[in-house]
Amino acid sequence: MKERKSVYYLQIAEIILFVGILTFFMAKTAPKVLHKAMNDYESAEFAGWSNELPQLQSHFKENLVLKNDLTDFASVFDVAFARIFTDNYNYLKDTNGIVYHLRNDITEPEWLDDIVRIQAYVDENQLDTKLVYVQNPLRIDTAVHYRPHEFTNVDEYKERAKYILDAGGVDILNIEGQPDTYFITDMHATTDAQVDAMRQIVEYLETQKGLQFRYKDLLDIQNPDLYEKSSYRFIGGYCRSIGGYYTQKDTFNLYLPLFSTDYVIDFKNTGVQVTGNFADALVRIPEEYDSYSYWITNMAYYGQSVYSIKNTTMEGEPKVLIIMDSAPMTGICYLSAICSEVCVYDPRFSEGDSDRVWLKEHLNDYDVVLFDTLENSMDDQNIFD
Amino acid sequence: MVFSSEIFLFCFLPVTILGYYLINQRLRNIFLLIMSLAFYAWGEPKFFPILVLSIFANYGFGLLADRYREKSYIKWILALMVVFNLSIMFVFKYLDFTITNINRIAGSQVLALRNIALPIGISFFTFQAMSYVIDVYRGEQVQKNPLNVGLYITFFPQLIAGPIVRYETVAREISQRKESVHDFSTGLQRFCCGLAKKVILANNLAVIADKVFDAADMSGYSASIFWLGSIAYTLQIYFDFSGYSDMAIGLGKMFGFHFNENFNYPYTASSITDFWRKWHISLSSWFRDYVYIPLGGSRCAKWKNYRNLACVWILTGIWHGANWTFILWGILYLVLLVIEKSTPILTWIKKSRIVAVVYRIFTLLCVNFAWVLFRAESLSKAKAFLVSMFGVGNLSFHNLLGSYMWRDAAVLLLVAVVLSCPIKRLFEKALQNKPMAFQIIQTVGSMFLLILSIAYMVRTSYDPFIYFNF
Repeated sequence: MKERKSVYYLQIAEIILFVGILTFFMAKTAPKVLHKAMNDYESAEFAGWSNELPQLQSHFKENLVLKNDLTDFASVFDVAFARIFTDNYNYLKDTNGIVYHLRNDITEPEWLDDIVRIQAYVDENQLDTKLVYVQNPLRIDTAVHYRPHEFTNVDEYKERAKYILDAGGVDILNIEGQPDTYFITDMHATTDAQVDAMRQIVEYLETQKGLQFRYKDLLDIQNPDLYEKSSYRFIGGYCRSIGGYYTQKDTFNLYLPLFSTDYVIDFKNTGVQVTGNFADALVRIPEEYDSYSYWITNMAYYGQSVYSIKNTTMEGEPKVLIIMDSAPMTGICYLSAICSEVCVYDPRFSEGDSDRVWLKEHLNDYDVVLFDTLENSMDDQNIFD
Repeated sequence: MVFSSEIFLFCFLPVTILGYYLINQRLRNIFLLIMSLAFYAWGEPKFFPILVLSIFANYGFGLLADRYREKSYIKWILALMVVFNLSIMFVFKYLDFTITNINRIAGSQVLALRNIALPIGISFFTFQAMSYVIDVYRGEQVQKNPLNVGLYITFFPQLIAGPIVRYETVAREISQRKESVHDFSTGLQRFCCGLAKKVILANNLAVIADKVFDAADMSGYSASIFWLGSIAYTLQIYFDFSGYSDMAIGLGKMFGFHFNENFNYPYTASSITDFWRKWHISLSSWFRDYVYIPLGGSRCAKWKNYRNLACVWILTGIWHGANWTFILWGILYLVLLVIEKSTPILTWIKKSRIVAVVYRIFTLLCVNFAWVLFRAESLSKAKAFLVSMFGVGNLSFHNLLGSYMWRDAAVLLLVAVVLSCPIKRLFEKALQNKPMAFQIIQTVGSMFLLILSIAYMVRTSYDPFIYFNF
């Protein structure tokens, strides 16, 4: 009888807990969802509440309280289930816990042809600017032990790129990588690796293209007299939907210059201008951050097609135009510390013909034009008019 | 709205539970009806009128069946009811399929396709509605209140993916049910278990199965990968559908309704006959009681018995979808069942352990191959898949990709295979004299599964419900 009563009370507790958990999530998440729904209602794209319902579902998912902690919790069970493919077979984890993005669909990229056409244009018009294609090390060649060449054809892409660019007379700089060039959980190279890549680019431009970077020693980010280092736990793009315990968490190193910097950043298509030193103008440190803060896009400006970073303390130093995706986003911040100007052109966010026309008109304003991307993220970009 | 969505779990369900238990008891049925209609309208606003039409039409048919039960023309009323309900199903589910086949036979586009979208759950609520009228005709108490008919047809736990709840099962509970702490507790445990089956097991198995079945380029695949895909789908469909049924049964219990079981560990079946006593029980029993037995069942001449079986299994195939793959799937089971009926195999398996074991494996293989047919988009794709499983056409039996995929799936498959067996019964038996320990384990386990399921839900957008489309 006593035991039956205890069972009864336990059942009541269970019911309270169940309803309590559901109500907790509702109470914490519903206000944010309603707020987003009102924003959608007031926007020009609002197409009726029946069309809005799927949006409400996704707002709920995106804004669920404790989402990051729950994602981490689930990742423990992916490890328990010994999963190696994740996110619908987009990623593969090797025995060292390093995650690879499997790209079997690499096709012939338009933009390599555009690079060749730019070279031809520069040659025909005898422009002073120098073109360099930066071949970043392949992830599968830098990480130790495990090389899933069988499931990706990025090395074929690299061979094809070399063939096309060689035939077009474009110079290729092969960046040397290290085993830890890339983050374990993200497609991008680490801060240290990106700055090292910039150092190799600077050395190449000096020895092969006759440019002079008088302050290249400022790229020594390991020098505590030059930079203040801070480190942040970081879950990269491969693991954001899987969770922080699927593999090791990465560490994002941020080096803030201790020497004087002064930037004026102009955004071509919006007319906005940002000024300040390195920390103010080029870095956005979130007020509250956790391991899900995406540090890659906290450096420079993601989502802008054309913007120039002028460093007023480096007048007379080389001017660099870099046509890129997000590959060197961290590295260009440090490159800008020793250049008078680094202009970024990200064709993925191009607003159409005006950017292509701009490129043609301003090519010769720069001492060197670099092409710097990850494997084949630009494969359908038409960048030159 | 699906049960495994954040909006259902953290919005609809707590509001419904709290509203139901805070409201006056007399208003509870109306409240549940309103919430059930809102549940359907959320996902299918444009098909909402179809549901309302079905409610009122079948309410009317129920009144007629009750009033004219003894009359000679009652069969015309029932026939009209069947024609009405099946016509709705035909228009939305089978019209374009029929037109496609007419055009194929004619060799040209004699009829234009209508491209009518399929209302979710139409097969379930249509069969449920017909069950109401037929059960009233057979003597169950008619509902004078259309709102109660509406509640029976549209009650949200089983509205869009079953189980098909027979009116006789819940007739009394619609008007007089008693909610209890014990029922709510066991209901929520069942719900949490079903949610975990769906979100943790079925969804992860679906990724593997879809990788194989839906691959645009299978040139790098070996035969072992096709086996992996078929096994993954076999387990996926079980955990998906039984998980949904668990959630439906659990939700029903939370509100005082007691639905019948829909699954009974079907992959432990000893024969095909046994399999269909354990799989989608509500559908097979519906066809048994409303089609097979009225046609004469097995108490008739042998040829009539086979005819009755053919009717049931072709209809079962057609019920699942407007595609020749489903019809052939139904026919496949018809053939296997006829073989079992017309040979002494079912007697042999009782007499010999070796025969029983071998036949159990054979049954599982047949079920596995049948699921390939069920899953494939067309007969040609089903054929291509099945032959690939045997390495036909220069396929290697196993390759490096196969190794990685099997390695990736191994633990998940093992867990799924173990959980598809009745291990819960062992655990219940072991603790039957320790109710407190049993309750503690159930409580902790349910809450753990709930949190883990929520964790899996929030990080993925991949959440298909297979039987949703029926």
